Amino acid sequence: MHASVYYLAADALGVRGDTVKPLLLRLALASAPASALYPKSLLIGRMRPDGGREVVVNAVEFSPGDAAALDTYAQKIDRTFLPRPQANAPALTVVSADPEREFGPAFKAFRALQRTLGANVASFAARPGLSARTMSSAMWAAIRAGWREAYSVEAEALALDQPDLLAAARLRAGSSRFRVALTGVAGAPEDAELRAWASEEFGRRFAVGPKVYQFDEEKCAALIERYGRALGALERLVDLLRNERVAQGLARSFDLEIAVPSGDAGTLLFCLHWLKSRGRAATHAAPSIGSAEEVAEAAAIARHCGVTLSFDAELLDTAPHAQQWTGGRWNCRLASGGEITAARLQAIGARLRL
Amino acid sequence: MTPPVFELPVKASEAAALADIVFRALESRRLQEDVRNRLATRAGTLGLTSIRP
Repeated sequence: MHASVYYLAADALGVRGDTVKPLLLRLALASAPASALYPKSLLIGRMRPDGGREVVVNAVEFSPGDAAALDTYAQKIDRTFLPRPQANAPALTVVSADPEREFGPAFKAFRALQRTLGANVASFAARPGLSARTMSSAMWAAIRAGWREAYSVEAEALALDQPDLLAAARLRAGSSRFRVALTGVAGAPEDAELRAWASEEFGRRFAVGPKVYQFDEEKCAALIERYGRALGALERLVDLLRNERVAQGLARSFDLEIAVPSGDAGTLLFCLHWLKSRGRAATHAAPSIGSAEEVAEAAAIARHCGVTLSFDAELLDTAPHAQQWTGGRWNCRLASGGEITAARLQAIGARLRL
Repeated sequence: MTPPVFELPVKASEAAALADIVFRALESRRLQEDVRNRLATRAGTLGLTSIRP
């Protein structure tokens, strides 16, 4: 910003100190150029504190519900508060039903975890119907906490068969991670060339550590029939998101998480390799894994494909040493079990450190 | 009939005091994390009743 203008997020307690209202205060020297960023701001006063330089103070309502004010701040004043892709860093993802209340304490916990884990694991995800609230609340809490490091925000999961998929993707393009379930769309790709490519590409052997995956003709055909069309639709969605983000003035890159409705390691390998080969590599994978054996196999595939393994915190009961089996690339989702508090986050963080 | 009284959300004098410490602290330095922390400490000593920074 201009050197004679500063912004301060604060709580207004009212002149009698009996209310709490989040505000953004704009503190400016009277000589600073006027700003059109917040045309409806309230003038608090033009004053000469201690008879010195004249200052002008304005206030803007700045609660999690003031999405336009938050967007203006994060997009035009300080872009360090926009969510960023997590890439290969670990994350502890808070999936909250009450983002306005829970994200502030979450950032405090992330600060403490940064000291104990030595890693920034700040991440949030939206429940169905809460994408906009989750995004606003995360930006608001980050600004209020002064969290200028990276944090990620995942939009509510997209389903490939939802009728408004493209519109939904456009609306959520500002998120830094997109989770897409490979469900609802079945069948082989309609494009004969694509079918031929897949048959040839997956006709070879894949060595993953000591294990070799070989898709015979029957298995290969079954996987193409089950996931081919869904993966094709996902490719188009990825292209749309890239273009939409650029159109909205955001970075082109984002995290892509695929939720695979199977615990079969071969299926996971098939989906991840398909996307990577077609130039739309997933960064995260969330297979339906439950047993220790499935966890080990999926983790090996994830490491081989260079993706982060995403799982619910409950999985730590079955497979407690996530840091080891994921090779440090984990995204642990805390979605259930009641209220999300700083203490809960720190307890999960302590388990992830083991 | 009593006209409604327009009430500011914060006391103008307190907003001015905050602005004053900000501009004094940043007169000759860049706004960095250590300066932010120092400002937060200074603001705490102002005894503000209508603003919680």
